[in-house]
Amino acid sequence: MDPIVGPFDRLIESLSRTVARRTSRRGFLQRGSAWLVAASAMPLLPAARPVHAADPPAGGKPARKYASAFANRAQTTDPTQCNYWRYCSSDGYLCACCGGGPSTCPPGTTPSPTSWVGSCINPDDGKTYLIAYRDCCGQDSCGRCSCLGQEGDMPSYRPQVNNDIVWCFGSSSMVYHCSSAGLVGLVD
Amino acid sequence: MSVGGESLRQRYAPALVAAAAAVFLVHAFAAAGDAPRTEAPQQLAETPTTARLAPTDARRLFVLDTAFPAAEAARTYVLDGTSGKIEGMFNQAYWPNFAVSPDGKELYAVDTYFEKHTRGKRSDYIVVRDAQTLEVKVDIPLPAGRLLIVSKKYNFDVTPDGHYGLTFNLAPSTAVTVTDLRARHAVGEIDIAGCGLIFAQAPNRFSSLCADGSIDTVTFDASAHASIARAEHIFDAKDDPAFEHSAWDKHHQMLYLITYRGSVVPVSLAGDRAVAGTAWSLASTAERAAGWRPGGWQISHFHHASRRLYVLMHQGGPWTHKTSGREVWVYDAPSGRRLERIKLREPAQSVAVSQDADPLVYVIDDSDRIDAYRSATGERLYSTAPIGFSPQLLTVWGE
Repeated sequence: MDPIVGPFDRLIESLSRTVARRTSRRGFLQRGSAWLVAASAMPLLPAARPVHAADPPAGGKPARKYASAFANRAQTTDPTQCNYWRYCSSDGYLCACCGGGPSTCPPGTTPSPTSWVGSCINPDDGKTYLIAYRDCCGQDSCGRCSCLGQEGDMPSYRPQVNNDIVWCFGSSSMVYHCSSAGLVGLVD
Repeated sequence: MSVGGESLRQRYAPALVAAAAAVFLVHAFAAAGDAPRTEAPQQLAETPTTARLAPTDARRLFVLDTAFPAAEAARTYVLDGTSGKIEGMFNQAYWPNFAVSPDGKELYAVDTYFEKHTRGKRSDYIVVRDAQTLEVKVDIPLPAGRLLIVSKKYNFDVTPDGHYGLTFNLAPSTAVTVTDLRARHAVGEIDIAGCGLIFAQAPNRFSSLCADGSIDTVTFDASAHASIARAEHIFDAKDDPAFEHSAWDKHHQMLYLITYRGSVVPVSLAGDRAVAGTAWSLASTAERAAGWRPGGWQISHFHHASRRLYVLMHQGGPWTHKTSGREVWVYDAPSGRRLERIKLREPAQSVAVSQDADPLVYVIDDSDRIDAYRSATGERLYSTAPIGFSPQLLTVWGE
C-alpha cells in the first residue's frame, strides 16, 4: 500500500522485540509463542469512533514536508490535542486529558507492562523519535480527548499493528482507561 | 432512608393513602359491575404486561452499541427495520459480540463480565436469549476467555446448522473456542497460530485470515480436534490488507475480501482449502485518482439471494480506512459490475442489508442514527433519532 507501510511495519516489529526485552513482563511473554512475542508490542486501545480524527485530508494531497501526513500537521506544545506530535499512531483517550500526561497514567490506573513502539517526527527538530504507546488500565474509559489515529493501523489478524485491541495483557486489570505515549529514544 | 430529617414514608403518606383508595375504588366498581356506561372502569384498570417480539423476520435489525466510553454498558437494540421503530433492548457486557441463530429463535451475546463492575474476577460467556422474549435461557461459560477488542463481527460466528458457536481468543496465542450450542457447553480450543477472525461455512468447518496473507481452513470434530489446510498468498496482508469486515456470503461459502486500496478478492471457502478467484477493483481508474476508497467500521455487507455486495466508500488519502463512507456502492459480486451508487444523507460507519426480496440498506451515520435506504432506488425511507451511545455493528437475520 502506501510507502510508509513496509518500513513502518518492519520498524514496529523489530522494535517491539527490543522493548519487550526491556520491559518487565514476566508471565505473559514467557507463556507467549514466538509469534506472539513479536506481537507483544501491541497497540493501544480503542476509540474506534470518528471523533477529532487526525485523518489526512480527502484526496490525500496535504502540503507535504514529511512523508507522514500526521507530521505535517503536528504541534509540540499541547499534549491534550490529537495532533500532538507523539500521537502519530495513537488511538484512544489521551491520558493527558484524564489526570495523567503523555507518559504518566492517571491516578487509580496502572501502565500496562506491554506496549508497542511507533516512530513519530518532532516538527521542531525534524528528527524521528521512538514512542512507546502504552495503555493505562484499571478504570473504565476516561472518555475525554478521543483521538483516532489511523496511520499504520492494520487489521487485527496482524495484532502487533492493530490499535483496536485492549492491550492490558499482563496488567492487573484488563479494563482500558486511556492511552499514553512515552519517549523511548531517537531513531538512529 | 430520610430526607431533611423527615422519613419518606411520613412525607408521602397522604399521597400513598389517596392512591391506595383510588385503586380500591376502581376495583370495587369493577367487582360490583356498577360502571359508568361511557367509560367502562375495568378497561381503565390495566394489568401490567410485557411485550413479546414477533418471530424473527428478514426486516428485524439488531444494533450493537459499544457504549463508548462506558464500555461495560454495551447493549443491543432490536429494531423493526421497515419503520426504524425500537422494539426492545438487552444488555451486553465488555466489548461484546452478537449473532442470531440460523433458525431465528435464539440470540447469542458473547460477553465479558467483571465481578465488581470494572474489577474482580473475570467471566466470559455466550449468553443465550430467547429471540421473542429476550429472556436469558442459559449462560454458557467460555473457560479460556475471549479477545477483548473494539467489537468486530467476525470474532464470533455460528456454524450454518446452528450447532457450534466459535469465539476468537488471543491469550496469548491465537485460538478459537468451540462451543456446542445444543449441549450448552464449550467443547475445546483450536490453535490457529498467526491467524484471526472466524468465517464458519459448514457444520464442522471455519476459515481464518492470517498475518502473512494466507487463509487457514479448519475442519473439526465434536471434540474440537482439528485439521488445518492453509491456502497461501491469497492477499497481500502487508501492503494492501483486507478489511476485517469484508463481505461474507455464508450461503454460497464465498468470502469477498475488500482491501484498503479498494480491491476485491473473491475467495471460495466451499472446500477444505480456500481458493482465490480473480481480483477486481471497486473503483475505476478515474475514481481511484479522485480518492475513492472503502472505509468505516462495518464497511461492507452482502445480499445472498441477489449476490450483491454493498460497500461504504469515501474520498480520502492513504490511511483513511476508518473514515466514514459518503456513499454505498452496490455491485453484482460474481461479475464485479457496479449497479448503483447510493448517496447517503450523512457519512456512515457501518452498513448492512436486509435479506428479503426487496432489501433495505441500513447504515449507522456519524450522528448515531440509523438511516434506511431502499436498495432498488436509493431512496431514503427514514432516519431514526440517535440510538444509544456509540452504535457500531449491524446484524440482520440470515446474513
